[in-house]
Amino acid sequence: MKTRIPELRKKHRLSQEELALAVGVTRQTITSLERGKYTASLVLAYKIAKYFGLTIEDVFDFGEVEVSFNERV
Amino acid sequence: MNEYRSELKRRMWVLCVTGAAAVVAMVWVASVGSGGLCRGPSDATGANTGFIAGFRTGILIAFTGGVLTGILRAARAIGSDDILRRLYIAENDERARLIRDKVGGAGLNVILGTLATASVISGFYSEVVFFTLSSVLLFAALVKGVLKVYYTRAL
Repeated sequence: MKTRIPELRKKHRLSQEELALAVGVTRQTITSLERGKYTASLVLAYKIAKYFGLTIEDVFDFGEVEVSFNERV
Repeated sequence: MNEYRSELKRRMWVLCVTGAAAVVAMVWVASVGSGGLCRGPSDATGANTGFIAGFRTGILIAFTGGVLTGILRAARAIGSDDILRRLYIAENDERARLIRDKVGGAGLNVILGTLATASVISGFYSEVVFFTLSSVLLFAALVKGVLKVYYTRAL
């Protein structure tokens, strides 16, 4: 899943480590989220969005999920 | 974080008791292995010497090492808020947990498949090996079945 985390981090001048500590995950999890390898749980997505003062949809791109579901079913 | 600190203190006690038990077991195993104070019943078969004795001692040394590492890690975390927070995150990270779950699930399936294949093959050569492998297979399948029923009801 694509995210705006790298862009938001740059805007807020945050390192991956700082964001990870703030939302209670490891730096590796933030790296995986940014690379689109790992999809965050609802709780983590909420924490990240809340940290940046945005909604979940503003941070995570759900377009790919909808397309993938329609293609499969 | 205070709740987690208390949990770590409890964990340290459990690890200390487990470690002490492992050291006692290691001393006992070493004395059986060398044919010293506690001579085991299977000395005549050679089961208490050589590779088997070394394996037993090795397992206990590795276990004790793991317990010591756990005690040191917990002690360091209890003494520092920053290390405590980092340890909590490392132990509860959702991606790490997902990886552990996936490894456990896939690993058990691989073990079951391998045991089933090995049981069938061993049946052609040795009855003892066949019954040993099929017993382990049955046990592993039972564990998987019980866990599946438990989690189906719990979640």
